[in-house]
Amino acid sequence: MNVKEWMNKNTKWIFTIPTLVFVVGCIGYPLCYALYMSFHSWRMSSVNPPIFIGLANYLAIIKDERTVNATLFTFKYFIVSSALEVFLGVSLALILSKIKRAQGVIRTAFLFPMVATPIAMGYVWRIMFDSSMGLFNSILRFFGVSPIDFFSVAHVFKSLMVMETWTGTPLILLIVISGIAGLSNDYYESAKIDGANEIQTLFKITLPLLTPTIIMAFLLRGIEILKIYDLILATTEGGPQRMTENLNYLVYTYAFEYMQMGRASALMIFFFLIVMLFALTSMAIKKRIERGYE
Amino acid sequence: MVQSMKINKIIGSILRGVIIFITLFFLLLPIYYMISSSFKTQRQMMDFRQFIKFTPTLNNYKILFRHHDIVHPMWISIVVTVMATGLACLLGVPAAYAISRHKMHKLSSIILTVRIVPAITFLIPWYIILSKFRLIGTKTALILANLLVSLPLIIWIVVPYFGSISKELEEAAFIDGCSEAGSLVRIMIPLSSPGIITAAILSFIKVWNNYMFAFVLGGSKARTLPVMLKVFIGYTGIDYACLVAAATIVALPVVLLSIFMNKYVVTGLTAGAVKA
Repeated sequence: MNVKEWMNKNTKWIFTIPTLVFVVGCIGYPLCYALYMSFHSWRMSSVNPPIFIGLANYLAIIKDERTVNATLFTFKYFIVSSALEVFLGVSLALILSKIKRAQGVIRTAFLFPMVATPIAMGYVWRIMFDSSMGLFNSILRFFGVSPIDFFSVAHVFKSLMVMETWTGTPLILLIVISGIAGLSNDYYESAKIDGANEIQTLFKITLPLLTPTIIMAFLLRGIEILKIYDLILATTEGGPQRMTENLNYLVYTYAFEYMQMGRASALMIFFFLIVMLFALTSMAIKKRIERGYE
Repeated sequence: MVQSMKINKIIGSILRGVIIFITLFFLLLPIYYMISSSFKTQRQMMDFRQFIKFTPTLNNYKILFRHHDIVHPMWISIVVTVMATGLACLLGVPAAYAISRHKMHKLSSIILTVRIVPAITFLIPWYIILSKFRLIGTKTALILANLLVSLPLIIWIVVPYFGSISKELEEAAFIDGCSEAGSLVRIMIPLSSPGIITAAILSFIKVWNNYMFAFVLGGSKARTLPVMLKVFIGYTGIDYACLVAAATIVALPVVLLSIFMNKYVVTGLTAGAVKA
């Protein structure tokens, strides 16, 4: 067997092995390394090697109030923003699908929040919300209202949610709108013959048929929401009083600010499990619903 | 009865118009604010009466290019983005072809979990390993890290395109003595070029926008544009005017890309959730 024949026979491996090695090597090995590191204490020093400390990092995490707060904040942020984004995204998609004029222009506008550099837009939002320079306070001043500190304890979450909906809603909208375009007309025609009104068609036909698409959109956006980092770094930097630190932000702080690699690794494994759990559950739910239609 | 239905319809379309208008306003506000403010002085930014009508100044950009090193980060950003996207296409397109042609589902699911895994999970070990090899602060480190995100993205987008091309076309080529590699280059790639362009654009946007890798692995030597923005946030205060000007420079390329290539960007962003 000559080289050429062998190459032809194994093309599929020649094509995939580089990618496979790279991806597995660069994800699998680091994950194992992180798992190993999570049982050690190490501060990136070349003189003092990592010391084995067993489960101490994990116990420290559970006891640490900061971790508990970050976990709760991650969930709060996730629940509120995904509810807002799914509701707004789906309703706007339903409205937009009825409009025939200027579709292209409107859709392009929805692309901006998705593509514009997150960290840059985060800074722009920070300036807009700023207590002295900001746009919103300049409007308040214009109307003679005293300025508001949008990043204070009382307002910071609302401000974050405004920025988050701006960033996140377009993805859900775009996915749902193409889902609507893909729905077969037959359903609607038979509904019309049966004398269903618009609200009935919406709740009995359109929304049930769209459910898998909506779940998929929720999954894709949800993963991003759990991993939000740039926006928080650019605007609140975790403050005030560390109340807007999420898990991703905290892992980062432990690793690259305090250089506590062991503890950061343990926290990272915990964070990784949460993200995986969310992704696997929503995929399972989507599959089950799709099977229901067959 | 018919009349009341007509009135209902008119009210409905007016309501829709109003909602769309408000949404568009909200969507475009930060972009408009960023671009317009970059041509304003700090005092003009604070004055709501000059929100739309103002005398533009190029002063912010002048200061930016004279007193801050923005050309070097620009160069790093361009090199890293182009190299990572190019390499990702080079490795990802053949892999996508093999996955779609031989139905290697297990492989595709391994590669796609990478899209789910948070970047920080491999960033910590990468940082430790790369600092052992003294690669922190090099473009190589940034290109490798970004490749890890771009590669799965390319595969994710391109696989369905290859799958949608009819098998008969390829089989005819095989009968004529064409190898799989030959068929990929001569038939599959030309036919699925829209998919490959989509994937390349998406990868470009992702790498260009990436902050975390560049900040951690780039150090002070390989600072990309997104990382450079931090210069304007000082301990004593923020240089607002320069910050918006720099933010405009960072975000404008991808915003323009999304205007001129909007069809590709839409398919790329919704890939996987929507059948191509």
